[in-house]
Amino acid sequence: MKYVKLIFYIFTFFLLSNYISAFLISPPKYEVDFESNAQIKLIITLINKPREDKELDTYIKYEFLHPIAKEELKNAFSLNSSKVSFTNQEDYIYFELLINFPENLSLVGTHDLRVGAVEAANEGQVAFRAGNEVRILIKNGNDTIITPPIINDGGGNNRPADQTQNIPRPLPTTRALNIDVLNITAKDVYKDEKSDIVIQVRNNENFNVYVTGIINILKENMVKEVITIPSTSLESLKTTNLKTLWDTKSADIGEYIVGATINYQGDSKNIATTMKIKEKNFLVVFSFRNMLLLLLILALIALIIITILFLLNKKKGIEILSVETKNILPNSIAEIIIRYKNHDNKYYKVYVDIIVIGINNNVVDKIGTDEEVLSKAEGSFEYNWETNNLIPGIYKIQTIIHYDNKKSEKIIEIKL
Amino acid sequence: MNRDYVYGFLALIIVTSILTSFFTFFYIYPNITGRPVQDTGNVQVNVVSGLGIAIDTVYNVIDFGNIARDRTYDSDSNSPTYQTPISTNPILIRNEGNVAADIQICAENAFWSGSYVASDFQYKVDMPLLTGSDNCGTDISLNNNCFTGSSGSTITYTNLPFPTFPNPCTNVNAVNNLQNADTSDEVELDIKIHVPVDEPTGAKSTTITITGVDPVTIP
Repeated sequence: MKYVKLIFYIFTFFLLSNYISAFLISPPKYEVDFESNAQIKLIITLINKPREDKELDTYIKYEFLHPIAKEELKNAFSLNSSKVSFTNQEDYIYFELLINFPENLSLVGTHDLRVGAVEAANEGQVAFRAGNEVRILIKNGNDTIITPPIINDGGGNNRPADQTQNIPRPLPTTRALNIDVLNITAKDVYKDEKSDIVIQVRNNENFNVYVTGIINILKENMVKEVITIPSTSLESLKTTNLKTLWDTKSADIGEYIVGATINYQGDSKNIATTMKIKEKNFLVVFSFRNMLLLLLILALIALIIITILFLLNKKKGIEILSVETKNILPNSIAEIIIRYKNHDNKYYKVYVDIIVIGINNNVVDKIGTDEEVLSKAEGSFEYNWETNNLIPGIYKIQTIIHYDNKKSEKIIEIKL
Repeated sequence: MNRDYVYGFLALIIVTSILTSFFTFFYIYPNITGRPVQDTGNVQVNVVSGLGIAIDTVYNVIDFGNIARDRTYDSDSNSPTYQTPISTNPILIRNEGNVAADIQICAENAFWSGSYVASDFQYKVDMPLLTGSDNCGTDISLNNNCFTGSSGSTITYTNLPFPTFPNPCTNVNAVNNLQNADTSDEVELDIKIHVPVDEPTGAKSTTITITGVDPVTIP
């Protein structure tokens, strides 16, 4: 019973966790203005989601064109490949739609061409296969989509081919716009860093123009990454920098070609450069964020070291700060003042020895005091010293404070 | 100068440095998600728009099993009207892209070879009612949050035409505006068949192509 339950859970898990084997097509639509005899290349991206080996058929569908437009445009479109295939290592594949417009288009309005890709069907009585299509809206004059007349499908149905709707769009320009792609730069980076890619584009028209772009990053002729530049307005008669970032986390070390296609009304232009992803070494350039982290760690280490030094150097016990004398004259009573500091927060019983040492290092006098309790953190002892038996000369006075079986001492020199 | 003051001053500097670093590191720069792409200083993140209709890997074929002449079968999981010889699931279609999509379908070849009429092969779409499928709401035309059921979608059985030479596979609208959010991006496709009375015995098969397209014509 336990195993039946387990199998049930495993089965349920697999049933609920099944993933879709899909491919995506990008962009979902293109809008192209008809221009007499113009040649246009559109790049369509197929996305492998999730990565797996897959074969797709590509096609152009004329079904939604009016028969007159279909006849006039029958030689206008071609694909660079009728079959494409993914490997389980590839995220993207591209195929190109080449357009060679004829001299004229009779019908005024927007024509709806479809370009798509479809995968193989599954096995079954009624089998299904999925496809996805890009709408290529070819505009000749206005935004009204021109639909073919009602079609008899031969199976007993009459059906409208499509609906007629208005698509709000900006005013058209039927010629190719005057846009210059001046320069492209891609910054060399260390592995895992982000590379700035900058494309300099000049709009030579006296009105603002929208452009889009695709950046293909190649290594050894294989596309490794695709970055889309979203629709961006270029100011009239000005140069604009289109900037984007490439995150090199999933890229290998080496030299890459960075190729950009800038699309705009009526035409597109290409430009390319190279960049390197370098191996990180000891002298890796830190990012600002890493620098902050490093500073933080260094500050913590410094704090710990200083705390340790502070604790090690902290004074303990009783320290003699200074010994001063007053009235040092022969045959008189001099004063000896000993200033001290108690570094510990406790009371000590202390007594003081004062030893007077002559020039020959012989003890010539000695003063001892009674034991007393030191109650202040900082203070002084004052003693009188009779100099009756001493001859003038130089003497040393050694002062010793005894406390808690320890002693603190200081020696000064005086002239009598 | 007393050494205590020196140490205290150093400690103050270090503590200030630590607090400043913490503030800068965790408060000012926690959520950088983009970089300026224009000289005007806009922050922009590129998201490529992609259209992607796919068929679920479990619910990807319809098999009616052995069928009898002049009988009707369907694959509806919500309210099966016509008895099928075996348990027949519908097809589950999902929008894996990041934009809404219209779905059109076409039959690649004729299913019947007898004297069939147009209504012998029909289709419709429905809110899915399958293990693990999205919950699209309660009413297909009013409260359906997966696709527009009130217009543009074929929610009642409608003839699915077969191609006849020289006409190619002809697309018919099936779903209007299938959403792309993960919890409401699925639709069920049902097939209903009536076996012509003079249909010869043998295996029957057809392939139906389900195509996703940008819903630009739907206002």
